[in-house]
Amino acid sequence: MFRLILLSFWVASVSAAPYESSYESPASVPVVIHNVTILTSSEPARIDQGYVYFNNGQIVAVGEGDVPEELSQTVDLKVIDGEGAWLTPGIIDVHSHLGNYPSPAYPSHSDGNEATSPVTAEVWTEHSVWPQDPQFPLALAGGVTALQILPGSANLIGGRGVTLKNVPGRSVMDMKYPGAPHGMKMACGENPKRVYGGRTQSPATRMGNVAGYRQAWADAEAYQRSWLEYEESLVVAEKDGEKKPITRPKRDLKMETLVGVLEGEILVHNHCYRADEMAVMIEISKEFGYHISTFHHAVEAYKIADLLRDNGTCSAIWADWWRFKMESFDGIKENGALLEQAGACTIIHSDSPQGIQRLNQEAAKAMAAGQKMGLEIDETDAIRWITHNAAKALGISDMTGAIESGKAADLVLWDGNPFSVYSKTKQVFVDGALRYDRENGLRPVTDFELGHRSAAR
Amino acid sequence: MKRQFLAVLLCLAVNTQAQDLVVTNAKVFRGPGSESAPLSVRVSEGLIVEVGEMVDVGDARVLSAEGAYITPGLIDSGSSLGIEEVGMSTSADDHVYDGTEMSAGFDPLLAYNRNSSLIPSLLSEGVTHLQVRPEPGEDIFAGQGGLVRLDEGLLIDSPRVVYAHLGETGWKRAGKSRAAAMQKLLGNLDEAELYAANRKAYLNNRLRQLSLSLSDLDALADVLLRKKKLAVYVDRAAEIEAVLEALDTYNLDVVLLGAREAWMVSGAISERSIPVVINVMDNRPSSFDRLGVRLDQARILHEAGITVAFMSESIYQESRMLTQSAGVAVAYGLPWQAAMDAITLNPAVIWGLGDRLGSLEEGKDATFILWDGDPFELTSKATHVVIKGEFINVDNRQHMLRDRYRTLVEDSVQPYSYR
Repeated sequence: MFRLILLSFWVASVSAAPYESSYESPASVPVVIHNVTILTSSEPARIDQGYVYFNNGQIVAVGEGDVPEELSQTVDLKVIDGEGAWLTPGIIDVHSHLGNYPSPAYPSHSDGNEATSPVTAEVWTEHSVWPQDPQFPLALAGGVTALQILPGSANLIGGRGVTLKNVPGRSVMDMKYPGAPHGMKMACGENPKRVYGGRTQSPATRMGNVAGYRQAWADAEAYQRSWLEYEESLVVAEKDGEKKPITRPKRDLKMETLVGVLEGEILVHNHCYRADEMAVMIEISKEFGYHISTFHHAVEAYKIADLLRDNGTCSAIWADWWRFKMESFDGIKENGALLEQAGACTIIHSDSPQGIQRLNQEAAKAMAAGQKMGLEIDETDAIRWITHNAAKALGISDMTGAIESGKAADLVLWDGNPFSVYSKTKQVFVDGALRYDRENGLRPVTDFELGHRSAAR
Repeated sequence: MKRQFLAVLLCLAVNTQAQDLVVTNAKVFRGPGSESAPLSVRVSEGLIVEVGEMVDVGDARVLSAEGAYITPGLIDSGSSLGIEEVGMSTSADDHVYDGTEMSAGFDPLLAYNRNSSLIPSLLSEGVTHLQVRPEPGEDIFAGQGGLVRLDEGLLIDSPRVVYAHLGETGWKRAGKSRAAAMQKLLGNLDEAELYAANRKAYLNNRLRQLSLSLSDLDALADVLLRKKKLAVYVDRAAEIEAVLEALDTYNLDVVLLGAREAWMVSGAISERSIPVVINVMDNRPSSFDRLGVRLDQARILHEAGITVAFMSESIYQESRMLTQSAGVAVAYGLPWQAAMDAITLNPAVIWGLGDRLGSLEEGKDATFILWDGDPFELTSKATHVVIKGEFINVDNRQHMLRDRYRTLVEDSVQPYSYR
């Protein structure tokens, strides 16, 4: 209801809501990829020799064996023989800073951390995205079709994240994933207390961190209440012409984001390394009645896999990063597999413009670590870690993240088992449109890349 | 290609030096779908004494590799491990000198900690040696690095390497100009040349005052005498060419580091026989020095006849990503064996111990790894790590953490901290 009132402010003046996605999937011919090994991130999880038929941006049919005649007779059907190739859903990275920390990485391009106050819930990371970042095409060549751009971790509450399709655009609106909810970035541990403690300002400790989150939520509750009271006074005034509504509260952009979380419209993405801190963050979410979608960089998630499972919170992790700071010292390669074994939700994320190009390989390492310790983990698990589970964390799993009819035709054709170090993408489709084709040199070229003598990719 | 590997019981505590060891039925992987015939390696007193299909076992201890793949111990050509325990943790780090009294002379290997808790983790990945290097603090010279055997420490007979940084890093440390960084590099070499030629006079105050400290002058004098190599971190093609031309007059032993645009000037590099150490997977045009960066650079340099080695250059993953880097280089066109050389033989040669390390040859250290599959594959594992004939115990705190939390059951009798 709160959201409806806010919406009414702008609906009055313009036709399309401000900041909304202007992405439109391009027209595409019907395509069938057949004779291919498919990892679906759905059921059945693996089809050894099968086909996927897609049209108008959507997957229409998936099956084993030959393409049924009624499909193969489609007019204008483009047929791709996947001999020796593997097909997976498009890869989704839940943690990226592309466009916020683009290449080239000069200070004038550094737009990912509004490190001016511990709580900056009012900022939206999409307003820092430079669509001409040449790292977007690199990620596409790695099979990434959607990604969440999050604010950095300097702040306790860093602002709103945005989910993008990995498509070129002249503005960020051209890239925004239609219908995807906003995320909100929170950060535990070393970073906020270092940034603000270094300025002899709160938070300087982990207990300062926790006080900071709780005060922000308490403020949000008060703000939410002030709007509800205003709304109630409107209703009363409507019924009783004698009574006047109370003064409309002033909009507070910071509070709007926090209230969006409390009302379940914005998903919490919480940077948090240590198990003990994650457990405390869950307590805070109980105190104020919100849900944590995902702990990011959850290096110690394996220590509390049961708690995370029971709380329905995903863990977005690296395969093998550790010891680059104290809170990462207990990182183990089996983290993802142990979470999977416990029935918790594992996601492999990148947080890196290099890693995002090889999330398949990162997932392979995490899978292999589980296998080496004797767990029943295979490719059908590992592919979910970088597709369906990521889509779930971003609130877009009803639209993408799996190969099943009705889902978006976000697909990656690999020249071999995607979990082999030697495999590369052949073709990448976003909403059924071919966006990358290695053999034919089809790839987006950003404005930035034009005209450099050395540009070689 | 996964192989079950049922090793014979190995008693780690036993001194194996007294008796020869023969590893039988090992294969050399030659790239996907290709492998050698089974062969045996005979080890005596820490050295390889025989390699072949028919090796006399005699009274030696025998270990059947049961068809596992054997490679030399892997060598990472750029790491701070052993001189940096944990990042961003102040005194747990010795690899950056922030003072102003030293530059080229700074020698962080004096602080190498061979008991670092990280070392068994890296050994378990099949990495046995690192070229440990400092990173720059206040000067274009970061200091000196050297080849370290993970379980032992600095190899005394490995030559030290002096690290200089041009490009963006040099720019920042030389008054914000690449030109000034180059002038400082050459000016410091000139000072060292003057010092080396008039050492006694200088020590007796009979020469003009020089700007460098004695340790810096000594380090650079060794570089001029080719007793130490000069590793230059530089990315931009034009800058690579410029520094190589400028250094021609000094007749130094130069190694290029980073060198993201080296492929554009491969002729200038190959004609000088200068090796190049690269970070395979960093392919972002992250500055105007790196616009030409590409994933297939290893292939191009190799085809130009340049000796290439790989460095992990990342505190996030360290040498854990070394075999992955090699695999990615292969995916982008580098022949498999050339990629293996880039993490074994080539670094051994570049860092000065090519006669002892980096290949399975008679007379070299018996330092090798047995793998349960293609060593570059992400799903393969090092099953045995042998250094100078000794089987190394690679249990580490990562394994212990894994085992402690393998099953999550609250148990008041045996809480986690007692497991």
